[in-house]
Amino acid sequence: MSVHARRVLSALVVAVGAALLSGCASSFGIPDGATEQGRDINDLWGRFFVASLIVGGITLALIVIAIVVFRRRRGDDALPRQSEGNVPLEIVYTAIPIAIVIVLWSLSMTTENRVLDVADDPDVSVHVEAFAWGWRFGYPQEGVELVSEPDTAGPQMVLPVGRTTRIRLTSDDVIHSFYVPDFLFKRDAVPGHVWEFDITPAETGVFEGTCAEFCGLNHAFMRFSVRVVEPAEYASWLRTAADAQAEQEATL
Amino acid sequence: MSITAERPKVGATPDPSHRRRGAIVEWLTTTDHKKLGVLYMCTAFFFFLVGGLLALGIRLELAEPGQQFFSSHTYAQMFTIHGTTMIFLFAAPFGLGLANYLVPLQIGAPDMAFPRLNALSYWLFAAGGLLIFLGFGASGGAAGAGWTGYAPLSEVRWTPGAGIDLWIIGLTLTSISGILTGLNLVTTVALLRAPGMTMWRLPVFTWDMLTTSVIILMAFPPVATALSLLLIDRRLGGHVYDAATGGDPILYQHLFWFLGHPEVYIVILPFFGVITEIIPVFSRKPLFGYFGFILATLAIAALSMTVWAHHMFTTGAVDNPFFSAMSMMIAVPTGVKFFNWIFTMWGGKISFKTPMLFAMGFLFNFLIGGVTGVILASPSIDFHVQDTYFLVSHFHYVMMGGAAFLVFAAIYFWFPKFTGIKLRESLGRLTFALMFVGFNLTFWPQFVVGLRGMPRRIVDYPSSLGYDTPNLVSSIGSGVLALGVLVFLIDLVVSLRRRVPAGGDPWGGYSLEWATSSPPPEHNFDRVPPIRSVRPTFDLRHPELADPGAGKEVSP
Ligand code: HEM
Ligand SMILES: [Cu+2]
Ligand SMILES: [Cu+2]
Repeated sequence: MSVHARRVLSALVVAVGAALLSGCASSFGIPDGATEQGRDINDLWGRFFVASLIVGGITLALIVIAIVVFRRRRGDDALPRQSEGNVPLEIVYTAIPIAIVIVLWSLSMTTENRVLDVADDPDVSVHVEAFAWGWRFGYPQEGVELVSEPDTAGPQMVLPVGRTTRIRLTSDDVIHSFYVPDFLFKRDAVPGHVWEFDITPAETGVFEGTCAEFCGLNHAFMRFSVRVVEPAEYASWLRTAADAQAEQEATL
Repeated sequence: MSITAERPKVGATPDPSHRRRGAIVEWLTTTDHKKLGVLYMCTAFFFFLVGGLLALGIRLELAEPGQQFFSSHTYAQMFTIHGTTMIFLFAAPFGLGLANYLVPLQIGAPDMAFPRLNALSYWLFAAGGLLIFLGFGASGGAAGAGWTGYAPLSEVRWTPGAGIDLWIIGLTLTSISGILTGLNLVTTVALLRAPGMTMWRLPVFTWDMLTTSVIILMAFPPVATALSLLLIDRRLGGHVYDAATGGDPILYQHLFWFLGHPEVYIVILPFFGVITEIIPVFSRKPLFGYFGFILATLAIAALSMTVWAHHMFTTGAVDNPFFSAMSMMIAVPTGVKFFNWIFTMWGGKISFKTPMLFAMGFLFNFLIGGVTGVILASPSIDFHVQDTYFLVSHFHYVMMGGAAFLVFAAIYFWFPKFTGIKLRESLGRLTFALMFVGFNLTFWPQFVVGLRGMPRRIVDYPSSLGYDTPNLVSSIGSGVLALGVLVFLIDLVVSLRRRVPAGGDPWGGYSLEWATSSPPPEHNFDRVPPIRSVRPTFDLRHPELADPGAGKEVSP
């Protein structure tokens, strides 16, 4: 076997393994969720995943049994019984999916209501403005503004862990989408509209973010990150950033 | 009892070059539904090959992180034209082409209701496709705002070149073509059914095409409107979608998806019809639950008009609970169809000829496409996976693993009817095996990478996020898939060179097209057999099982 073929083969083996493993991990392939809202979505995903496995598995089993058991044997030319249906069975296989769907929809709605719930009095407020092709993160009370600069990994939003942050999202030009995979959440930034939603970081760390709505040439590179820190560290970061910004404006 | 007739021999034909020119002119000016059907299917399949080449280019670029082959500008055109081609120029028109050929035959009619309008439909479709591709020659290149063409990105301020204008005009022409074909099919089924062909004896493919036509008539006018308004914005100073001047980009999404979602059913319903013709024949049983199946089809058509905004959960501008409920509900009639197919096989004697193999591949792929569809219908989960490769994989399980697999099933099933010759069973099996393995290898890793958060429509990705291996596997898979299509093309050439005659009814078919010669004579039937059930051709073969009175012939 040539080196090339061997490399291809080992890539295949790794991939199948990875695919299986990602299905066996506790989150069934998605990030755990680094915000309270994200964890909620992660729970819902787990329920949907298990339900899909059961429903899909039963259906697949029926298909496989039918294929294996009722295949035509060689030389068997007699017609099978020409049954045309069975009304009770048809009612059952219509009613069961309806019941499943009602349950899944109810679960979805309770989760969605929590995820989209906005606090009366959020602890932090950040204005996010998307533009082609970058991000502007503003902390209006403190006068801090972070903007994408060319050829960098994008600006880094800093948030305190365990506190509710209100994001006000809009766009300067075309539609973009504010997406942090670890938060299991995205929201489109639409010109002419301002959307508000809350996120409550549940663990510290740096989380990669990206634009998720195609917005032209540099869409693939419209990245940013969110750094979640302890509240004390957040406060001191904010003070330093505000001072630096004031100084910069004074020199201009 | 003879139910087929030799095609009448044409008289003396003089000079062969004359004859060839005559044949070309005949194809270009034909109003015969069978010839138009063949033209439709060949053109659509050609677009599938072109769209597939573009997809291979996409997979080549994404095989490894880094931008190796294409500029961002070229890449945007590639995925836009790939998506546009596959949806509007391949999958939907192939279904319509098949309907053109089969519906008149299945209802025992000599042609469509409006043959000339039918020819106009075909040429509008071909012209529309041509215009979209002409964009590659325009300054600024072909359309590059995604197959959805969201405003304001598609407004002239952001995408100035003529590519988008050609795309708009091309799509509008194909929409008009679709509307005309829809009208034609509805009228044909309403008026031209042979004596005895009641609505509850219509073959399922015809039922599904009738339903599809109704959806077309409801959904294509809005998209033609949406696109015309975009053209007015771009070239005539309109402000419909531009937020900077008081327009609203969300309106574009509503109008686009009001078509865009039903379009998915316009693509898939004809192929639900296809598989429902194939499974009973190869199981040697009637369809299990015909009446329920038709009701499910009608329910899908009705629900399909109420789910469009599930593409807009992340815009924050729509009533998520309502659209989520409707979207999940549509899984119910789709599930019913699954059980129709499974219980048709149950108790049968299934032979796994190539069409049946593709049908089985469809059941597997479409099951995954359907289950992931219910997942996407949950708004909160959609917040994470919308616009990621999870979505890309989901709709390819529906469109490629679903509809396109049944395009191949349909070709293997009806090719003998269209041409009078058989395709090679061994090459057919190989095509299926390569395509099935290649398809799943291409798209399964895209679920994995999408769940990790990889967005769609990106020309490049950072290598630190766990995207690398699944992307490489996916690209390898697309090569295997392409190999499968290549074997199919070889099969075509081999079979057309060394002809094996098929006869009128090579599979033991049920519906009327199998009761005439292959290919059928110009006026389709010399005699239409009596129609006493959904399976007139089966009744002819098994008079002992048919209703008393069957076997008498009715002249058309
Ligand atoms: C022949 C095998 C195919 C392969 C390997 C393939 C591959 C791909 C890939 C990788 C993308 C994502 C591009 C991106 O987001 O950057 C894509 C997009 C797409 N594909 Fe396919 N595809 C195939 C067949 C089909 C078929 C049969 C259909 C429909 C009938 C289809 C419809 C679409 C659509 C609508 C998009 C979205 C385009 C957009 O984002 O604007 N594809 N395809
Ligand atoms: Cu963007
Ligand atoms: Cu973007």
